[in-house]
Amino acid sequence: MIEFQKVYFSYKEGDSSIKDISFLIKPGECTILCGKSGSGKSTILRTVSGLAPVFYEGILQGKVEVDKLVPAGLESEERAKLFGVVFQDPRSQFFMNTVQDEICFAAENIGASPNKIKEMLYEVSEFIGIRDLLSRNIDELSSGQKQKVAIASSLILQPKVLILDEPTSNLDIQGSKVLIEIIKKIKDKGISVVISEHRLDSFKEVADRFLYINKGKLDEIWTRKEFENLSDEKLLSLGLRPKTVEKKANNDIENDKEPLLDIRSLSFRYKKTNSGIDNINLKLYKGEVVSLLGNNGAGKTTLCRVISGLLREKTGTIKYKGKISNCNLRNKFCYFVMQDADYQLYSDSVSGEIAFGKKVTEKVKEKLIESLNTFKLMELKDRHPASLSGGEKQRVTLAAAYCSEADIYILDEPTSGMDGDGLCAIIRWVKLLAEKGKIVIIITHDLLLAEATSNKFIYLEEGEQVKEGRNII
Amino acid sequence: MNMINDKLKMKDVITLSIFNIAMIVIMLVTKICTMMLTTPAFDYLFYVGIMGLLCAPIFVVMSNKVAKRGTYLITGIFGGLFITVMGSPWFLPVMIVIGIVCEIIMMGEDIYRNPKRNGIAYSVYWALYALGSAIPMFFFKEQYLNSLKDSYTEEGIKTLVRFYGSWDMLLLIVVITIVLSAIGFIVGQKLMKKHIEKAKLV
Amino acid sequence: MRKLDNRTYIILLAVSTVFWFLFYKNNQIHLSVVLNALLLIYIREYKKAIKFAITYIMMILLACLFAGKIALMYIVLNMLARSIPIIMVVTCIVSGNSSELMSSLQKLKIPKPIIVMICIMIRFFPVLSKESVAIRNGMKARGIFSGWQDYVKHPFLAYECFIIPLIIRCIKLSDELGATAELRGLNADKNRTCIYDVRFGLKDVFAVIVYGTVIGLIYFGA
Repeated sequence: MIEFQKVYFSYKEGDSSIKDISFLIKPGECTILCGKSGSGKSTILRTVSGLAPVFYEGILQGKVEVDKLVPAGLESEERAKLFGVVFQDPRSQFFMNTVQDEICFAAENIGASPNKIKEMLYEVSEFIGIRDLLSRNIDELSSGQKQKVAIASSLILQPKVLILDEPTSNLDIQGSKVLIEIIKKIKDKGISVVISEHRLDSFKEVADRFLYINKGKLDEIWTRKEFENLSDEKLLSLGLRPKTVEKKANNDIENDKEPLLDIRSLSFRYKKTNSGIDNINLKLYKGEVVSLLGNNGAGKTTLCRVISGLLREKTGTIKYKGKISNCNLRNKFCYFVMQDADYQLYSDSVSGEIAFGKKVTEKVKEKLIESLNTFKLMELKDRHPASLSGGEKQRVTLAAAYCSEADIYILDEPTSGMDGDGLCAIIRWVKLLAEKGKIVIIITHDLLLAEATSNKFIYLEEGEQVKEGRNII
Repeated sequence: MNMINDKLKMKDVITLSIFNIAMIVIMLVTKICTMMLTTPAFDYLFYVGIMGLLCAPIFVVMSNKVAKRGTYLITGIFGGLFITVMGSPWFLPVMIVIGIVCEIIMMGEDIYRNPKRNGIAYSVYWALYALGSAIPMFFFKEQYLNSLKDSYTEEGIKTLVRFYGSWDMLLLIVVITIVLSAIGFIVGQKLMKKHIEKAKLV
Repeated sequence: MRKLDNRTYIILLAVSTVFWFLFYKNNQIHLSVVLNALLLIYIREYKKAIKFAITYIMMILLACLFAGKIALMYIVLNMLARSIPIIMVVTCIVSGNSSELMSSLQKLKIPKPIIVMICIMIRFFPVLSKESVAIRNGMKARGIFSGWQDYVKHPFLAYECFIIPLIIRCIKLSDELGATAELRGLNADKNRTCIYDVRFGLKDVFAVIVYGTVIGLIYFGA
């Protein structure tokens, strides 16, 4: 179905970003591309669909064939029929406002007959299991539902190849499971599936092969069996996410008499949707790392926004060092690292970013150099933050957080879209912060991260605290 | 640069649309702020100028990213469509004319990367926008003055007439707008050099 | 849902704009607000009809309050109130279905780039508004510019901190959206079809005639 022979591709300026790639994918096969961030996975996906060099300009060498056609030479219409593509960010791929229109969009564009589109619409929505969502507004959906709509709309023209770019990065655990089931069904239809992904472990049921890309080259190919036999050390040395991590040793920190942060019966509701959090009670001590777990929409981010002072609590109190503190005060001692690093980078260089908003004194300089070293940013210190990769950006925001005077750090999905190196690095830094006596609150679906760093786990469900414990349940 | 490369593609239309929406968000916030926080007189004299000042960095990046003929025209149409949505459909043809005028200023090869010419066209764009938005003031002048007759002294009405719908006031607005949008453009160029070009995003 | 064709709304918009320029009394504007509220009720947008009516009444009342004191305020409020009847007609188009709208505009031979622009505007205006709120929150979350005093002290820096992430987000959004468009056939050189039945029917002719007559009566009668 897909044939690559000695393919090279280089963007307008700079070296080739993929070199000498050859592989063959049969119909109905599921192939996972893995590798460190920036290794060229997305470029391969782009050359498969012909977006590189048609949309992303550059030079392509070698033979790329999909279903005996050359993707780069296809008309827009033919390309739409041959490929279904789902990008990582659901915000930037929907054109229409309702689910039904969105799914039909591609078919309408290439001028298929309305009756045929309707037939396909019902077939596809039945197949993916979103029949009940058809009349809903896209913006009301959860991220798992959005993902399903994106897949459904890419399947409407019955493509031969489905390409998914980091599909699990916005999904919760439940959502990932559903996704795997859908991919299984798609494979059974004889559609080849190509996925670029970091969380490999969850795909081992459906993946037929894993292609390991390193610095633009295809270094290794594993079958499912071979992948299952790979050891964690090997995965880590390749920069991939391991299957398990060492659990954090549970030394008791709670000997401290007084909690640093004491949250009592905290509630908040959004006016518009009336969703929110109810009656949250939490005691956090110096040096504690807490993982907030739960499905999307359970209120994890809302809780953290209230704690960090971005939202004003409705009822309940938050005591900091024994004193009640209002939201303006909390804003001073909390540091919230958002999931999307783009919103929190303002300066024109990494070092400027870390020292942002501070008067440059000798003391700040020292701290700056210290944090550049601990976060391994020395080489990047003069680069513009926007030119960095996702993982590097996340590292810059963490370094800036480290440099600030805050006592409580909140990380929102810090490992989404991150490779093994990034995961390990974050684990190290979270531990470092905890050693300094700071409180770290992590919102995450990533059980590896939670297990490796936290000594307290809190489960939220529909805005309520359902479970709390010292181990993952 | 050959002809094929100079035509707007779908990709460019999408880029222009997204950036224009960002500009419109800023324009909307500006208008609301000047209306709520300042006096009506200040609002009347300055709001278009401030829009030109604040939107400039977005426009500079957009025009350098697309760098094809039609940027001003599309911006004009887009602005006009939005103003239609906000309740003044008559402004759409005005905006299209403004767009065409700016396209005429931008005649020439690869001119969008020439900051001087682009800056002139940008200032003209906002100056004409200010002129255009004063049209209803001229239309409904009589009506407003009539309705004020009972509750106002002749003196007060005279000052109002001087303020609204007099040509020298309009000239003042145009000058303010040109100055502010030119400043904005220069700042925009600087910001683009400092950030966007450094990050190699254009 | 009872609906008229988008082309009907466009005709109604043109008609009401022309009369908008011709109206010379406030009574005429009052009556056209009533007429457009009836239009919204006819297409079963009850909530919107009520919302607009209330907004309009509030503005007129406020304007009356200011009339004797601040003439400028009176004029500004009147200008705003005046645009409400037009916004009501536009609402019919914008709050409808974009797929139908694209199809209607295509039948009017509007060039494709403009159709795409309108479609993106309807979809992405709320998205970008949310982005700007997110950037504002990002600043707050990092603990910079947390109070209004900081804005007064460093207005330029604050502006830079807001505009740069916004531009970077725009670049990313437009790149990804462009790629999506390419893959979903938006570039295809074909006439778009539509799963809905887009037709200019009897109902539409009837609506145009009634609307035109009533607005004419308002102009000559009031």
